[in-house]
Amino acid sequence: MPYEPSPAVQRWSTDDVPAGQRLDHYAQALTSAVNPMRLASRNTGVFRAEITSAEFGPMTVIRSSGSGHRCLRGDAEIASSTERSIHLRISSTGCALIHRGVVDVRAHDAVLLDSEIGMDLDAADFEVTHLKLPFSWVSQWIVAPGALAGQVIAHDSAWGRALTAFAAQLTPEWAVQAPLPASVVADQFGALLALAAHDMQVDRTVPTRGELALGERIRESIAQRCTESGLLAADVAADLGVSLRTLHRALAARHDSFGALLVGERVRVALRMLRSPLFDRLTTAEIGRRAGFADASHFARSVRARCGVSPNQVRRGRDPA
Amino acid sequence: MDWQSSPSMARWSTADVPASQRFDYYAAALSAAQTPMSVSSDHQESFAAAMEAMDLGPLAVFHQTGSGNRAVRDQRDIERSSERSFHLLINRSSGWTLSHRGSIRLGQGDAVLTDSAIGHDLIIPGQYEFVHLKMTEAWLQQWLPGSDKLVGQRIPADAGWGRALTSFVAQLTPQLLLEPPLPLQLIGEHVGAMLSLIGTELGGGASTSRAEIGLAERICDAIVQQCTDVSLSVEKVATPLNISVRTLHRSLAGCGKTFGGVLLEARVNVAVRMLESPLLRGLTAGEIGRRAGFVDASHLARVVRARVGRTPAQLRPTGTHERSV
Repeated sequence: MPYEPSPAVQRWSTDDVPAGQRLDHYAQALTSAVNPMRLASRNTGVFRAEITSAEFGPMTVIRSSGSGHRCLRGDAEIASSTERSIHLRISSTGCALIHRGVVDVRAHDAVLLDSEIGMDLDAADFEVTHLKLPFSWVSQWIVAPGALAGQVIAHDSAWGRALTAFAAQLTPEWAVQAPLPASVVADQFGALLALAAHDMQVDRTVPTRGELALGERIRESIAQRCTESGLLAADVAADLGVSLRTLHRALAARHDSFGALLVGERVRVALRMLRSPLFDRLTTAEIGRRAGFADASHFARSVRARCGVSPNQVRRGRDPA
Repeated sequence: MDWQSSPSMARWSTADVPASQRFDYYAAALSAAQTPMSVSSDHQESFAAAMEAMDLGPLAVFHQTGSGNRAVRDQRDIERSSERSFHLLINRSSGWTLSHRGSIRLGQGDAVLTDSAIGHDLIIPGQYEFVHLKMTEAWLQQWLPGSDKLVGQRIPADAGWGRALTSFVAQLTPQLLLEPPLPLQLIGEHVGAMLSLIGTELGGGASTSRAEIGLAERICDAIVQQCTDVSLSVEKVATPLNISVRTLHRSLAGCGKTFGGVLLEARVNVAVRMLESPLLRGLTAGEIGRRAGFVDASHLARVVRARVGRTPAQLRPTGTHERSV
């Protein structure tokens, strides 16, 4: 049967390029394997680094090693990232990190990073295990995944030991021929992450139950009215009888924003129409308009950012059943 | 045997009986709770030991502490045993020796899997602190089809999947299990999956590479992996597998499945697990449904009721107390 036998391990090495291009080459490798990033070399010696990665179910398993450098993510890099993701990084050496505050990460500890928050990471010569986890997947396990940003899981704490020992086994080479289905291994990892986060008390201090409940009512209200193309946060706040400030605070507590929720709900409505044969006689532009998008290119960009394909492709790729 | 929602616990301690009866008392407790065996010690008069047992269903977890002894299980004991069981043993405070299938030395923290159908001779020279997992044969076979390969092998505490397993098992304290932060079944599956990975690592070559796994199985796994994506389509699953939408449907139909059916079941599984998890108590059922990939809350409620016979609200953990850390 003609199907691809097993996903491949991607490899990059600075040995492949002339000395002057090494840092740029590695920055491109990181951008493609992990997330868009800028690099700065720490010293004048010859920079070398290599990286391997493999897709493994919902996660991407990445290993890298090389000479010390600084990694930066600012607004430009955040804007060019596609899907929000949470990153777990364990290094054989400590690093100084600025990510929502100053974080001191010891060797072998795990630190969590959020792709939507800027980062400045200064690392010595390193050997790193890095797991990239989609935000939506993490939210199956953690109440407020955004609260994980900048948190350290100590390798010698109770669940931290179990989590880091588990993560140490996940290499790209192992992942492509894992003896268990990727979803089973991912569930194991999700459970460990939930237990470790619970130990750190991260996951229960941040949003209160009241804030969560209000956040949920805000989301429902946005879902009901999202097809109104001029919908404003103030309209939703008025519906619920809360101030604009309370609305934004409740959403911020669950690491959400009005704009992101609104676009998300509009895309959801549009997808339902694109998939339904009942709407076949409408153009995709008309569907975008009915879903609340004021202009067609914003509609196409939003669908692509969430689904990886254009509105037309969603339509064509419809399940024939 | 079903998973319990909260386990029952039993305790034994030699401190509960007069000094002269302590040794026999403990030997009887071990035989009854775990598997028949006879115990001896050079220092019977000063012998002290205690054991806590938690029955989780297919798994039982024992915490045992005490002074050095020797435990022998011979042919007569094997004949007295009612059913076959497997045992994972970790001594967290000292080294010991096991003759089970050949003789091995185990360091502090190392693990070993034993089979009740084979005799053993266990020599513990010093003070010990065992974590002991007793597993039914039927349950273990889901994870280790060739369990015999792993039986009697040293599982190192400081390397590979052995390190992941032993550090996980160390956390399965009575306090944790009495108020489990995650459903007990999930905790059990974790142990099973790691034993399975260790079986491949130490058993050597028994692994099935992904290429050998049937196409239908790979399709199902791809659906399970992405099920929480509200916009998951047949094409999104077929493209990375390099197959056409038609091949996907045909392959699933070949084993009596449909894309929609597999997807719905996967979403229900995620939702039920989240609903049952005490760590996610703070989320509303509606939010859980959304994170599990359901478009609306009433759909979630209908589907969950149809599959498990209970409403989402009935699945939520009832404890009002937060686990204190």
